[in-house]
Amino acid sequence: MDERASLVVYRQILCCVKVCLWAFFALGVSANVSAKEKLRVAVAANFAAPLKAIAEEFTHSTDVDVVITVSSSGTLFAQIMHGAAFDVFLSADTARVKALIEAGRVSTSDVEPYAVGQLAFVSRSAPITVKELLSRNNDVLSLNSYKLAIANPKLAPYGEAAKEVLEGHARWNNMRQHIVMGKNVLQTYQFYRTGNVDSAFVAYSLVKDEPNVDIVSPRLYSPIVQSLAILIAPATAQDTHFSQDTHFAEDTHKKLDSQARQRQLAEYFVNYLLSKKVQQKIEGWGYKPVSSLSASKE
Amino acid sequence: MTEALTPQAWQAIWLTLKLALITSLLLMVVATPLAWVLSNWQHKTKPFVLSILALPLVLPPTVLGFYLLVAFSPQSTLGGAWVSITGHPLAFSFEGLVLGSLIYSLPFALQPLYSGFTQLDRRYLEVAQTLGLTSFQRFFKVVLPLCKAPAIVAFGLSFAHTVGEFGVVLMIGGNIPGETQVLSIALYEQVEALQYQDAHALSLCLLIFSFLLLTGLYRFSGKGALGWNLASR
Repeated sequence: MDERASLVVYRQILCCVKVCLWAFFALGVSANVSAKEKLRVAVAANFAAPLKAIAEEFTHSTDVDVVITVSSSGTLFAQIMHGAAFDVFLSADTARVKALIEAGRVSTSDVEPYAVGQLAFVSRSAPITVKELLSRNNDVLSLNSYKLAIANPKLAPYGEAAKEVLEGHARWNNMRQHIVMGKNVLQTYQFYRTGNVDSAFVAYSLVKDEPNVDIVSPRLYSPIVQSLAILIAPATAQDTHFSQDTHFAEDTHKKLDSQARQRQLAEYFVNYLLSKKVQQKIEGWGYKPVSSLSASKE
Repeated sequence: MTEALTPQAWQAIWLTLKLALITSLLLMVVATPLAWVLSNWQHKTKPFVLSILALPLVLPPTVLGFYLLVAFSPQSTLGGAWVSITGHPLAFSFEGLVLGSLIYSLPFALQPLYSGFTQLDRRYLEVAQTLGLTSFQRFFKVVLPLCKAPAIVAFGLSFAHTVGEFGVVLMIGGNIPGETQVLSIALYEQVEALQYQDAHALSLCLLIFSFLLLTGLYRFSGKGALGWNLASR
């Protein structure tokens, strides 16, 4: 009796295993069938949310999957310099992209601004506005417990802008003991949201739906120009000539084809991002379109 | 080597050593009696208590950091009480880091002590009892001298673990030089800011330091454990 019972259990287990194997197999096949073309985009944390929405629409209209990696610009820069396979890099600043040019990783023509960031000030107690914060008779400076969060100026362009605002009014040095730094603008906002700081300088895109948001006048800081780089070089024919081996040449040819195609996709995506339609939408996410740069220069 | 490190890096090194020393000393005070009580305690809820105490071992530091950040907020009970006592918030302060590190490194102090205490030959204690020593005296005159090796391993491990702490400090520290900017955070900042040369120098220091500390610990625990085994036979 016991033996028979255990045999039944054994058969049931075997059956389960079979079903699982079939399921895995079927999944694998369907995944293969639906293998679309892929574009890998690395994005700075502050632009992740808009990029996801933009990528969704891009995939909808082109059937190209956009694989998004979110991190801070510095981390992404290091990964790119060490061979991470991204096709497009959306940095939070222009410095990191320029560093890629200097390192010979991308050419100058593959770099372009894609959005202009706006600095915002949020606060849950006095001072409520930037003007109050910067005013001479502001008494929070005497309060030991007052904390103001900014992104690390060394790492994040929004932090640099915040420092510029404070320095411009000779507030940097006497505010120093009240300042707490986040590694990026998202963490800075997290400090504020969890209630650990009273006020914070963050990206307007993060807080556009909050009460008590004060957009900092663009005259108080240099523009936060967010630039992108196409990381995949245009395929050139000269790469093929060094080999006489036909088999190898064929391989190289195939590789070149796929590289050329990938480059095409990357360019297509960048053009989409810079198109009037998307640039107009960017304002809704709390950024200014790239065109605002040339407008303010004139 | 001295020239390779910036003054900011030296400040971070000093702060890290201070944090690690204070944390591991406090941990010894907390973990030694706790481990002793646990090793003598039998109850069906014991597995639950042990799991709770071992949680910092397996939880991602970001989870711990996030909970601490929420608990440190002046709106919460703990954070609010701290502000009303000291006048400044717990997050982004050195005291906050010490509290975070205590929780983060607790299992590293507790586990060697706990296993040391459970492996202790109880006959010594029985003999001591027949000689009329109180339980307090037995602990200090018999248990502790016999468990010197696990105690030093516990101290060393919690020290080393606090030196290498990153995720928790990143979330509750706020990167203030001289206050919360420890080695790992300074290093992270240098890597992020593309100052790779400075980052290399600091990384190398940390690597050598950690290696030496661990080698010392392994050598010691090897010898110590052997001596302890011999003594118990």
